[in-house]
Amino acid sequence: MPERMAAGVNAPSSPLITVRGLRKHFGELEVLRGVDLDVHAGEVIAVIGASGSGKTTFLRCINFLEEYDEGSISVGGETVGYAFDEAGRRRRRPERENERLRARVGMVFQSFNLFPHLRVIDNVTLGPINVLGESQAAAERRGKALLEKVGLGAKVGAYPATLSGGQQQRVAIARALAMNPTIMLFDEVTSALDPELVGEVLQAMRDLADEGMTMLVVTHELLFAREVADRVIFFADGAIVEQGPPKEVLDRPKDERLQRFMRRFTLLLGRPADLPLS
Amino acid sequence: MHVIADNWPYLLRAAVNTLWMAAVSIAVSTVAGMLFGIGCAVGVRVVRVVNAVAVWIVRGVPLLVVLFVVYYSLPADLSPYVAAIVALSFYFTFFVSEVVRGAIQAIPRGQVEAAKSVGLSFWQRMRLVILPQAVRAAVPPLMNLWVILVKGTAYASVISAWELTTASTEVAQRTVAPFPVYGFAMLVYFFICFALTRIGRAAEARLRYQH
Repeated sequence: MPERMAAGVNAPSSPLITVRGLRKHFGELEVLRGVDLDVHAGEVIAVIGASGSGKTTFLRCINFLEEYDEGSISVGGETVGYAFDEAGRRRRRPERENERLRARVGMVFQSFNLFPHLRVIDNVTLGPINVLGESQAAAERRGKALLEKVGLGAKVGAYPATLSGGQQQRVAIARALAMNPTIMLFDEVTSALDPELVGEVLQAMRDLADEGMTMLVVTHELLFAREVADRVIFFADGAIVEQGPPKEVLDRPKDERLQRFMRRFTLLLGRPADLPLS
Repeated sequence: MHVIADNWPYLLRAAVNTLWMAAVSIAVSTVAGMLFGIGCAVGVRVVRVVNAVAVWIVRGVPLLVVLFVVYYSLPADLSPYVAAIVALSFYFTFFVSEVVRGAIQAIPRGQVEAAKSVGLSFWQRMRLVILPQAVRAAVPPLMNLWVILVKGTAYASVISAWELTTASTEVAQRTVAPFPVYGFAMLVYFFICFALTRIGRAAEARLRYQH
């Protein structure tokens, strides 16, 4: 994806997301132990790591679904969740400011989380109408176009329960896109799907990446990471222990924990390099 | 059977009183219970404390005793009919609040998170995502409470509020024919509750969304 690289990764602009010294505890357990990361506009980053390594918690901190204890996150120049004074003391931002931030950050969940009482189109237009203040007609027009784009133009009037998992997840992607986000967060979005439904969701994500969307993708799909990501970051014990271009990280892992992690996947899948994506 | 033939208009007039008593109590306890239930689920401290104490009372004290307290012990001089409505409303408010609180809290966290992630504010999340789903979950247990409340109106006879059971007792004593008279009352109660459950079923069907 050379054009994407030109637009984002190598551009000298300031990063879209900046994370510095991020720490978080759940009680005694320290799930994030000092995470630093810069994400540039247009970059697609695959976040990999074993369960419990902190990667999902990290993702959830970025749109403040999860509070954090130390460090800072900023998205588009604005700090997330807290405001900091010159002395570095922080105070929680008013809810309204966090809501405004969340409106600009799209999120797709492992368990879809579609609103079961609303039709597909109403799932997609709920945010645009109530948060962006769009008219019903305008929101529906855009919503339909987005649903067409993820291949669900025929399901506009259906209820979520009548859709397959892959279809539901694609609606969830359209719902997030309807807010015109500057960045999309994906939290293991194919983990709850039957194997034969994974491909359609990954395809929708790949299309999005090709359009230049900035994406942070927590995933176990190493093949997807290899083909679509500009950068792979590997989480272990609450920190990023290795990162770089996919080929480097996935084929020549340096950290011992990453080597072990990769061996497990290689055993499961055969040699990933030899397999096509979908 | 001539007992019924002679007295059914009187009994039915009393039944209308029963209906009013039940309707007002259902309306008050449902609205108040929803407010308490939402307040608890949202985490308003005052509401939680008041609700906890009141739930503890209504769970542990018989309705009849609450009725006596309201009628005989409150400083306000209430008519039996009003006292019955106050007692029923109070009593059922806190059963409704528990149903509503449970229905709200049973909504998966993911729903709230998805609503947050599209930028909805607290009240928008409540109005557009949480409550529409909670109401659907709450209708069947609420229906149960309403039916129990209708039958609870019969306690009002003990403080001589004029309703179906009071009127039946009058007629039974006057005619010395308790069996047909109470049998008739039984049918009327049954019919009211039956109608109520049908309405509830219809409401459930209307609210169903998973086609």
